Amino acid sequence: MTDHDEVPDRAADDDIVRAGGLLRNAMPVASFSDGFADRTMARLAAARVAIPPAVLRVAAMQRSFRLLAAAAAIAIVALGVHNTVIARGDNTSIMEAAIGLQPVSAESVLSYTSEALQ
Amino acid sequence: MIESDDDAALVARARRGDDDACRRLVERHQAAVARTIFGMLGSGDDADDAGQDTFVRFFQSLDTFRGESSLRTYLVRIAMTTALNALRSTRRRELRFVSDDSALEQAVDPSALVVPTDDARATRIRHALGALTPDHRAVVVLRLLEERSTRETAEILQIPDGTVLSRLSRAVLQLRTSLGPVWEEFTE
Repeated sequence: MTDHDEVPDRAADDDIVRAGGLLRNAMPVASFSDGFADRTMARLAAARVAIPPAVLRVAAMQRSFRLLAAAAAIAIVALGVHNTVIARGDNTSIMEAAIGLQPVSAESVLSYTSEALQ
Repeated sequence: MIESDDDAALVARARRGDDDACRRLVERHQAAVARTIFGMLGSGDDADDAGQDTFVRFFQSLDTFRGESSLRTYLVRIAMTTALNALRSTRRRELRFVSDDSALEQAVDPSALVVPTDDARATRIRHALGALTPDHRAVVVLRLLEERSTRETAEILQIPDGTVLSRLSRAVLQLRTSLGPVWEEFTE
């Protein structure tokens, strides 16, 4: 195209084909990193117990199940149900449901919570 | 129309709170969601975050999924909305913190004047895609990267077919201009 050519206002079909080829060459099919389904399920479980979004975002970005567990613990404390859960003695099953992972002891809940709050 | 009996059965189980069904739906459709999210946001933590958001939103609104489109198309629509929201909030943050000087430096990037190596070429192409407005980028990702039809693209973005065509045309013209020699030398 010379300086005197008019700039077209509509892309030609072969330009569209070319753009597609360029983009597909530059961006091969990508996939999420390993453990994506685990992270998503942990996040879904955490969402069910109303984890504060900001805490959850940090936990997910850190790819940290310990932090996710801590986030769940913080939410449980924040929701004011923690003492009730401990008193009923079924905190393990609640935490297990909350984070969708391994059972977590009361000691771990406290330790994860204090770790996350640092 | 639900894509397959398996999807329909898994969705029914997920509605009853079956986490194993939820996990299998994530595993089955994460590749389609990744294509959309990575096209819009690139790779990295933001993309992973948006991918998780997509599925969490889907599971939280399972009752509103009536199966009128395929599950994959429905998830891609949520992924696209999630990515567009992420881009808009990033843009708001940038407008608050990026100075006029750095915007000027980007506008006169001297590397735009030479033909780059393969890696640099790919980077340039990704940057050119990233420089499109979010609305134009969405059309390019669906039509050109994912090779969806104009109708499907319009359905996912919930815009008329004519708007898809006009955005695609403008986006391609912008790509051609910003890529310069990379555009001219490309042969498939």
